[in-house]
Amino acid sequence: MEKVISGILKKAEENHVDASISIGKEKVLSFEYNRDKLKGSTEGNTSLLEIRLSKGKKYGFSTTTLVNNWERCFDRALKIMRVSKPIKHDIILAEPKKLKPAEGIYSKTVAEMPVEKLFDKAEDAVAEAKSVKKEILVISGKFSREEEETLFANSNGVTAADKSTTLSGSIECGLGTAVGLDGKSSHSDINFIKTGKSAGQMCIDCLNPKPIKTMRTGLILDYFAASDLINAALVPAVLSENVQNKRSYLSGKLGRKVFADSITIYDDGLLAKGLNSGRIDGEGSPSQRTEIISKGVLKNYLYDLYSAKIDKKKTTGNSSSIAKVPSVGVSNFVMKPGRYSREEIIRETKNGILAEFLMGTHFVNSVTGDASVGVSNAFYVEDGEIKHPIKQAMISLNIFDALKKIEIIGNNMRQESDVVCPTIKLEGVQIVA
Amino acid sequence: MIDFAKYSKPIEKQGAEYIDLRIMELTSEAYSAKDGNISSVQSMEHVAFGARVFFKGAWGFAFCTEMSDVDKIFSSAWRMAKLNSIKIKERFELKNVSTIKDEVNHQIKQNPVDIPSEEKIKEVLEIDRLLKRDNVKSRQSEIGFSSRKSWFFNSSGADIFEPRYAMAIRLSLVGRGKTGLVNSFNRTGKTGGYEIYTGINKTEFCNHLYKKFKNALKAEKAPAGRFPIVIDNGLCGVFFHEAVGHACEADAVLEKSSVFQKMLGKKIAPEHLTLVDSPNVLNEGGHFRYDDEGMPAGETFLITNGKLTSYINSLESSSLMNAKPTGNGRAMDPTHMPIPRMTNTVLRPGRFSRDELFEGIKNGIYACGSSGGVVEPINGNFVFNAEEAFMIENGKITKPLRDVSLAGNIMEILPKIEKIANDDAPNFWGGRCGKQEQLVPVGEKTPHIKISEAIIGGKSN
Repeated sequence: MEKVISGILKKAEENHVDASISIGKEKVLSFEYNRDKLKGSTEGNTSLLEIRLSKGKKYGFSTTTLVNNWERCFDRALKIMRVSKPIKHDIILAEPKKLKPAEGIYSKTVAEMPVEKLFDKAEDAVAEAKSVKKEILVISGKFSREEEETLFANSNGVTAADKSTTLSGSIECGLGTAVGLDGKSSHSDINFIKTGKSAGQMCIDCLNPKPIKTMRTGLILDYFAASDLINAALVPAVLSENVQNKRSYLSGKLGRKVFADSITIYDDGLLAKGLNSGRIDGEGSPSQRTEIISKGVLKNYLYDLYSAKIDKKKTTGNSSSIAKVPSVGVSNFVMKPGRYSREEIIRETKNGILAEFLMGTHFVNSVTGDASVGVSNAFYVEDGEIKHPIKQAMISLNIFDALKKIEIIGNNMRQESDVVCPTIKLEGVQIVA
Repeated sequence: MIDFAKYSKPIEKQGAEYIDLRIMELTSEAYSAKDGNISSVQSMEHVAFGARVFFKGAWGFAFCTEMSDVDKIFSSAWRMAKLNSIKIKERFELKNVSTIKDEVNHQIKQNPVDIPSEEKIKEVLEIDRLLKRDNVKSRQSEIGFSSRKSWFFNSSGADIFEPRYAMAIRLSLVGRGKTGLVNSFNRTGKTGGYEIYTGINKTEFCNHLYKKFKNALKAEKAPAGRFPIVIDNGLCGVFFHEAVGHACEADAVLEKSSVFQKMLGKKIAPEHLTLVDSPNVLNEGGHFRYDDEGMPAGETFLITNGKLTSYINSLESSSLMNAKPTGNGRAMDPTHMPIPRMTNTVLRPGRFSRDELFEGIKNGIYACGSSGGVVEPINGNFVFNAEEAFMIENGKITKPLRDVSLAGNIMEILPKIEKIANDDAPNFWGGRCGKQEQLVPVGEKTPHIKISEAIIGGKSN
């Protein structure tokens, strides 16, 4: 890989252009289950080379899976750069800086785990789901081990490498018309016993759902539902690119109180064990922790080098890729935990709905915050107790209005995607039966 | 291009029952403009190899992106198939595997990726200019082109080459309307040569988006509740794809996670409804000759005169079900296994004119277009959003509504399809359907329909 990088940098110099290079190599091993049975397994090795060439306000980007044929990729990037129209401002390359490694993202045990060991973990999880009740059908399951290596370099002399491992398991069970699912991802060695058990148990809990009336009530969102909603509505609103394009609800609100006191949110690319942690961002800037909302007050947007220059700010290390300028994304998007346990949240609810999952959050209007989505694996809560699972229902709310009134935030933090958050409770949500 | 037998024969000798190899060479480009400037130009060249080995009811699968790893994926797939076969309890045989040798030549005039970048940059800037209109705060345009070559080989002698050429246009406008920020989209995606792209009237396409945008600016929050509803071609296509098509996929049926299991031959919709999965609709996203298992693709009648008549099958599902293969084993690329997928969802036209659908509706909703949808196949619950919607008052289309979403249950809603119009047309909306982490291009050809009652999820106040 080093040879490819030095070749590209040299050729860039000869052509009087700047280069940013990213090489990713990924090894995957996975076992898949279907209807209680092992369906198959997959082993894969992939490589991807990305080259961005730039000069002043012009750039060209090209990718190839044929890393050793980098010259063709280079030539295409150069051609695109030459024919492309200049963008508003100069392209900026990351400067060499001292980098901090992200802790807990690589495990030798996971990297060297024998095929059979992963298979045993998968079998154990499936058996655990069925142990809840033998009639439960494991509709599908996927258990995988990934090893990822990335190498970044640019013409400014930045070079950085990161290596991570990820062990993931997800399982979906069915019994009658009830479905239960759960998933878990980790950089270090874990088993999926709890994942299997909770998927099986959710199935049982969702048997015999009852219809509910249309009402306005409290809505408790467990991790998957909460993180899904945050990802669909809140994440796009804090990205500088959207703010500058006037595609954000949070445009022009810096320093203002935008949400309730209980809301503190930060992005942390160095979060220990964070699923998206690494020493650099997509364009080679150091990863960092950035306060976004502190006790309801909007403190910062997230920036890459280009969007930061426009606002006369510094990058927050949130470039998602060199493919596009600008290109801003979150790393680990963390909602600070509150003081309530999940049990307390339910206990303190006079009446409301508890939802494990939401359906159709990709329809949430991230500009306005209007959300009209379905709930699944949802329960009716009354007098502090889960009474019964509910039949299909939709919720209608404005997520930003709901975050202005939010008081109850759980202390049970979890991360299975970009979002790290606990169980939360929104008030006065319209439920359409 | 590759000596398949060199890799497959040794494994076959050791007992492998079936082996196949897929190779893809994909070149694609995307040109984006934002508010008068080019915002990005990207080009990629991706190559991938995927080998499957079948042994005693078990699959082993391996993939790579480097030619030098090809021999490794065969041995790895074989090793995995053997390991899995020990654990697999229920064995089955693969039936009706492909033995076809063919080199498909889709008649195109110009390969879209051969057109110089300069011209495409001019094109996207021209589209951007057409969108510079009153009240537009921000505008984004993207045009994309791809050329994909696919090879398929198997141990039964199949040797198929099929190219695919595709294009897409995606536009969006942002503005501030009566009830907050408005974000309107228009998009299209087709298969075919560059001439398909040049054949699109860009002015009309942009005007259509601007009309939607203007309606959205004055749109009001929709009422929530149960209403009679008329849905346009676009939303009708997504509705049948999401609500009915997915439940017809044989893997969902085998997994007992489809609401249509054990329903074959039963009446699930009104007599006047016939639904077909058809890869034959030219230039639609789901148009192709052979699926990713080398099976010839053809029309599959899913619902015939109201009765459920077929599921959508891959090689594995048809073998397990003892059913006729339907040529629907599709994969996103060779790094994924083929699974049962739709092609183009076609609802046969009815006998009503479009206007007749609105007749007699006192208080209803007219919902148009969709930004996608989701369905839980196990119980038939679905929800999806309309891109644009209007009130229907006394048979007339009146004020525009915003953020209208439909929710319901397939089994309950199908019998409520009261009228089907005769205005069926391809949507060309360029949809890609996601399932098990695989995106594949699909299409629709559908008319307007009237549903006597559906749940509308409106806005909270």
